[in-house]
Amino acid sequence: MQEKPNIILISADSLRANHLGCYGYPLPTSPYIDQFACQGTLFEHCFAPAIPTQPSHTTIFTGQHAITHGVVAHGGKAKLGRGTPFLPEILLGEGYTTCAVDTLFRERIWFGRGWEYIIDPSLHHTFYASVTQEELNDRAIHWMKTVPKGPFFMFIHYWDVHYPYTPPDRMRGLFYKGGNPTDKDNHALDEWWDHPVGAMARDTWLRTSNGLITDPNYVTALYDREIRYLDDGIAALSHALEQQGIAENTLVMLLADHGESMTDHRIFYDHYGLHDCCVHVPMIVRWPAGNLRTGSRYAPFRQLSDVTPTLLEAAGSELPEELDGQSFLPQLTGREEPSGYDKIVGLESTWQSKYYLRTDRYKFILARYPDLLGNPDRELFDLQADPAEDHNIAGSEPQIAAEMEKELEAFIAQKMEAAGRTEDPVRKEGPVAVEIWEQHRG
Amino acid sequence: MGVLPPSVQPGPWDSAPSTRHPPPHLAPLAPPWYRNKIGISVTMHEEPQKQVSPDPAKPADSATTDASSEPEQVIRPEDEAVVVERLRELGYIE
Repeated sequence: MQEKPNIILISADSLRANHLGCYGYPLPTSPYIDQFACQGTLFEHCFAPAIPTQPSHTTIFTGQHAITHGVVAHGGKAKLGRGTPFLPEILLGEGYTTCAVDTLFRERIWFGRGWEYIIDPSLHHTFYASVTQEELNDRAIHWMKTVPKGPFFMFIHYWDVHYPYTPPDRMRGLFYKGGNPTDKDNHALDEWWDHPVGAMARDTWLRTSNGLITDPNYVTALYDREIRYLDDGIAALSHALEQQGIAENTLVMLLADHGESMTDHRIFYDHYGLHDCCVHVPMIVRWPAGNLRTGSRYAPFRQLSDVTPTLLEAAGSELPEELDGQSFLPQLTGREEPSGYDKIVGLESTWQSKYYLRTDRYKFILARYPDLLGNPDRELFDLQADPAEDHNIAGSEPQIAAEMEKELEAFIAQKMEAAGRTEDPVRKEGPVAVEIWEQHRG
Repeated sequence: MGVLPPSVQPGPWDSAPSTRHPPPHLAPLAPPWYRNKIGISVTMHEEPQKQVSPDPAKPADSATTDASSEPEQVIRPEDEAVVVERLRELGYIE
């Protein structure tokens, strides 16, 4: 057996944790992922400290908080510093053959760093996120069979679950319990048309042979079908590893960059707002030769900035001092007891410019700019009494809100100072997409 | 309430992770907001395999409808271009 493990990092874009069976979803969306979870360790409380896609993946690959690396918005002005540690670059230097089966480098150039191979079957599409798991897998499996001569690091980024939700025909009939998907008297989605992404959906993928989809339950069923389709793809990729005889010493980490709102908090089928539907993400790790715990569930808080230090430790690499995240490999191998963070701080600056501070009891959300949904600048949720985060108690619990705000600001200041920043990156970037939204609403 | 709970007491942020959380065998199956959101109670399990879903080739009755009764999504060839144009306006695509 080669000394270093192969590493496959699977990112399922927009995959909401609690729409998977192994995270408690009652519908059969994820038969293979559920099996995969019992072959490894499932993280029950993993959080994205930055959303959406670009900030989150930048955090994944740098092991840094977004305040540190500075990429706080999707489509913002900030660029990742050339000297920032980047996972594939480090692994390349450690003798790994690195391969991204991915399109992210088409969005931001730094996602191309460190890959000896970049495979992009989305070139066959007008819209790169229309690339399917089958197209990605065809190339990924072929590459694994033919190219690496030693340990390899592969990143495969699936877009199936990201909007537009256009599952293949063979998934039709799944997960919709009846009703009329195109009932003209159903106005439950009307508010969505006020958002540019909603209008885009209305004008494209929500059209059917019977008219416009108006039933949110049907849209949710389309999303769940995409998960079921993705589940097939992850099964196929895993089966290929078995067939090649390399599954034993291949560390496979499955995660999502963020969740999906569905219709929660008046945010329709998107990934903004710092509620748990969007910042709580699935994470499952399997590595048979690494003697990781199998079939176990890891309860302590972890976050996506822990990915890079964990994978570097698995590869036997030294950890750069600049990392904010912490490896959980010692806990997975049983060398240490499961442990995690007391609190998570995260942010967004795309449709909204906000921070969150989450403990196991409370979530505090602080806006740097007013949002277009009319939410207060300060929101506090008691996650025990109100786990859906529907009732803002900042007014009735001002002391808790004030203490959490103070602690949040202290964290931001500490991170800014450590990164040599003089300006809050969220305040500086602002909600980069909100002008388009305002124009759209007219 | 008015009293700051222990979980938000000021302390080191990214220093060594604490061990204050319960061990895995005491952990809930699903995040509580999930249970609340859809109004069901999920039994605590440790073994994920106990929740393995059936293959969609043999879908559970409760999870399916007659596919032939559903409308077909109509995705026109130009729709992808519309999506790209809109996302470029948003700055998502350079």
